[in-house]
Order: sequence, then C-alpha cells, then structure tokens
Amino acid sequence: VSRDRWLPIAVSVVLFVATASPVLKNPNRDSFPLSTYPMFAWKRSTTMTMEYLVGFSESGARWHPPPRAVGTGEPMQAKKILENAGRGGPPAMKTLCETAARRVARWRKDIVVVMFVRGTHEAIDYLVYGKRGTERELVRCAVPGREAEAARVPPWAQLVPPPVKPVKPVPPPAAPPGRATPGDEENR
Amino acid sequence: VSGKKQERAAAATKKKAKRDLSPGGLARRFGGWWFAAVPAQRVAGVRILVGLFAVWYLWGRYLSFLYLNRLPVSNWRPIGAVSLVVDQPLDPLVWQAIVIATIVAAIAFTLGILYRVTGPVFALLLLFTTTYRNSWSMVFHTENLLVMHTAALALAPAADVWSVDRWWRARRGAPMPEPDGKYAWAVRLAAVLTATTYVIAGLAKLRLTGFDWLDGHQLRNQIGFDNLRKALLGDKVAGLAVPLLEHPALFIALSLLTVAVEIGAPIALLGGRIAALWAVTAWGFHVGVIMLMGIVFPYPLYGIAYAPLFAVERPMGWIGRQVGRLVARVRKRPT
Repeated sequence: VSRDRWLPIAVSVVLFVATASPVLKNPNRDSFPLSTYPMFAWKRSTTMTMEYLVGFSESGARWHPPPRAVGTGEPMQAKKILENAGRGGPPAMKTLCETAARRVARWRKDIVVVMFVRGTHEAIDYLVYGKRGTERELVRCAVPGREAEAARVPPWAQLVPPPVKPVKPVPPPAAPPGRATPGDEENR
Repeated sequence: VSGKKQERAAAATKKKAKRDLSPGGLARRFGGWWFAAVPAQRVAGVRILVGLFAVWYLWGRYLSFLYLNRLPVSNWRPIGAVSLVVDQPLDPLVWQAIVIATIVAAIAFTLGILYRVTGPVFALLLLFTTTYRNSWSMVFHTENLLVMHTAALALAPAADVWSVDRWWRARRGAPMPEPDGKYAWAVRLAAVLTATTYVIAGLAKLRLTGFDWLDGHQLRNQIGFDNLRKALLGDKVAGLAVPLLEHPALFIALSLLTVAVEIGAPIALLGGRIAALWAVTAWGFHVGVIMLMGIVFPYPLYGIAYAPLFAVERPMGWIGRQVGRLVARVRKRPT
C-alpha cells in the first residue's frame, strides 16, 4: 500500500467501524450520530397514555395547541417536554401551562383556558372512529387577559363526558439500561 | 502477435484475480474498487450536493436551533460528542456564535474555499451543532447521515475542481487534475455509510421485535401510535394514515418491503441499475413514511443520501455547461 493511501484507509476504517458499531450495542441505547436507528423497531400497543395540552373556548369548544405552545416545532420534543413537566409535579405543569397559555393567546382569540391533561386512548378508535378514551385534567390556567371568561369554563367532568367504554390505562414501559428510554427511540 | 499474446496474458491474469477468493485476493479486489480512478468532479459533485443541503438545512432551522436554549433545563441531556465537551447548556450567545460559524463553514465547504481547513472544521462544527440539538431530550434520526458524509468528505481532496480553490489554482496556471483513485475513496465510503445505516435500521427491527415485525401488526401499530401522538399534540395527522389503518392486510406487504429495502441496502454498492433500483425503492419508502406518519427525512428525500452511489459529475457537469452557456449569451447580448 502506497504512503498516500494510508490516510484514506484509516479514515474509511474508522468511519465505517464507528457507523456499524451500534449493531453490537444494546439497541435501546441510542445516541447521535452513531445510532441504532430503533425509531420504528419497538413493539407497540395501539393504546397509549400521555400528557398533552387542551385549550377550551368559553363555549366549551376544544382545541389541541400545536407543539410551538411548549416551545418547540418538533412534536416529539414537545411530548418529551410535557412528559418532563408531568414528572415535575404540579409546579412544573403549572409553569408550562402558563407559558403555553401566553403563546396560545397569539394564535386563537377564542381560547380562554389551557389545561394540562393526561389521557389514555386507543389509536385506531381515536383516529378512525373518532372515539376518545379516558382523560384527566391535571392543571388548568387562564389565557392572560381572559381570566373572567376562563373562570366560567366548567370543570373537566362537565366539559368532557366520560367515554362509554373506558380504555384501560397502560403502565409506562420499564426504562432499559442507560440514559435512553423507549420514548426516545419511538419518536423517530 | 506479441501484442495479442500480452492482451491474452492480461485477460488471463484478470480472470485469475476474479477467481482468487483468498483474503489477499479479495483485499486486492476491494482495494481496486475503493481506489479506482474516477474524475475529480465526482467527489466534488458530492461535496457540493452535501454542502448545499447542509446550508439549506442549517439556515432553515436557524431559529429553532437558537430556541433550544430557551427550553426548560430539565430537558437537557447531553449525548455523544457534546457530553464529552460540555456538561451544561451553553450560554445563548456562545451557542448562537457556534450555529453561525457552522453555517459559514458550510458555505465555505460548499464553495470549496480553503477546503483543507474549512472541510475538517465544518465536519467538526456540524457534529457539535447537531449533537447539541439532539441533547435536548430527543434524539432525531434525520441528521446522522449528513454528519457522517461530511466527515467522509472533509479529509478527501473534494475541492480540487468546481471550487474557489480550483479557480485560484487555475489563475496560477495549475493544470486540471486527471482521474485518480484519490477521488474515489470518499465517495465509496459515503455510499457504504448510506448502506450501513439502512442495514442497522433493519437489524434493529429484528433485534427488538424479532420476526414478529414482519407480520404487519407492528407497522400498523407504529403508524397508529405515532399519529395518535401527533393528534393529541396538535400536530397534523398523516394524510394516508387513517384510510390505511382500516386495512391491516396492507401492512404485511409494507413491513416485508421495509425490511427488504433496509437489510438489502448493500446491493446498491454493485452500482448501475441495481443501485438505481434500490435508491428509488428506498426513496419511495421515505415518501411512504411521510404519507403514513408525516415524518420527513429530508436528506434521503432530496436524494443526497443516494448521490454517492452514482456518477453525479455527469448531470452536474451538464447543468454547469448549460448555466455557462446562458451566462455567455447574456454577456454577449448588445446593450
């Protein structure tokens, strides 16, 4: 091998081995840019429990604020932010809810209150047949300047009637070893 | 007569080398392919495509990159190279300076300005910037190949033509470079990295879910699950998801095709029509992902991931000539 070939050979070997190396690692431990690409590989149930925001108008019309409401354009990053706030308890949820309410005020004039909700839904029922699962309000906050209207919005139980056949909540998946959780990989 | 004899002898040696399956013989054949003489325009063409994509990608996401530092710190989880360098979020001004520096380096990389310096600098900055972005709770999988391809090109002579460096050398009378093996390896490496990432993605499915992944249920569940999350998060549900979720049988074919494209990616390295067929199928797979999950993988979708599989210098050279003619015509036009 001539001398001017050594650098290309070394670079080629290092980059190839690095890119292929995740195949020998635990597929749960994702990283960047050396990934195990587990995004669509997880075993999935179609029933899921997660936190999200729901906005309501004074008349009770429901609206799901976009990911920008929690400070990101990426839906899966928004999910993580909501999840982390949910883990942080009522103070963290309240802070995020208030931040989102301030942003929502810019996009929808009719929304007067934002609620931090945890819900369990079955994907096919929800998407194909329009059947919602069970939901629980965790925190609510008024859109700034609409406090009076927000106070008139009835409690969750009156706003959202319980489903005829409740969906059984799914326990969160056990975290695999390492820093990543299945949530990280399921996202992309 | 002696010429014919020599030709026959050369053909026999070539045939023998093809039959030689010993490790040494295989290594020689592989080395012959890895360093086969190709025009300098090939690696330069791939550099320009990767660079243009990087500039567009970074510029288009400039604000969203900056907004990262406004996210609650509880979302900060450094990974990869970033975890080796910083243990807390960067000062917003420092982060902004790094993002701007990455964009400037991307432009220099694309134009081939002082490439020996700007190539490696851009590769490092891009690695840091994208890893920092992925350190905010969410590992994206849309930038991996871009980072790896940039790394492969950074140390190659990818700016010997079609670059500012070349323009500068030509002014000083340097001749055009001849086809050489030194222009092949980075393109081959980029092609191998593309194939490798698909294989790893395919293997991950079989490692995590086993052959159950092939029966269609898992794919249908994935699509339902992903779209439900989007609906709850106020994002758009993918256009084809709802109509197709009602037909579970369709997902058997889609699952088999997905794994076949991923595990079968190395066949693209054979080049020619096989590479084209694979690239079109893989591209179709990404279009399917958009229609069923609304997830965009721009790097393969714009074809950049597959560019190293082809002689990109031909269409790019043709475009360059047309642009040159157009410019000449405009200049000649009497005022």
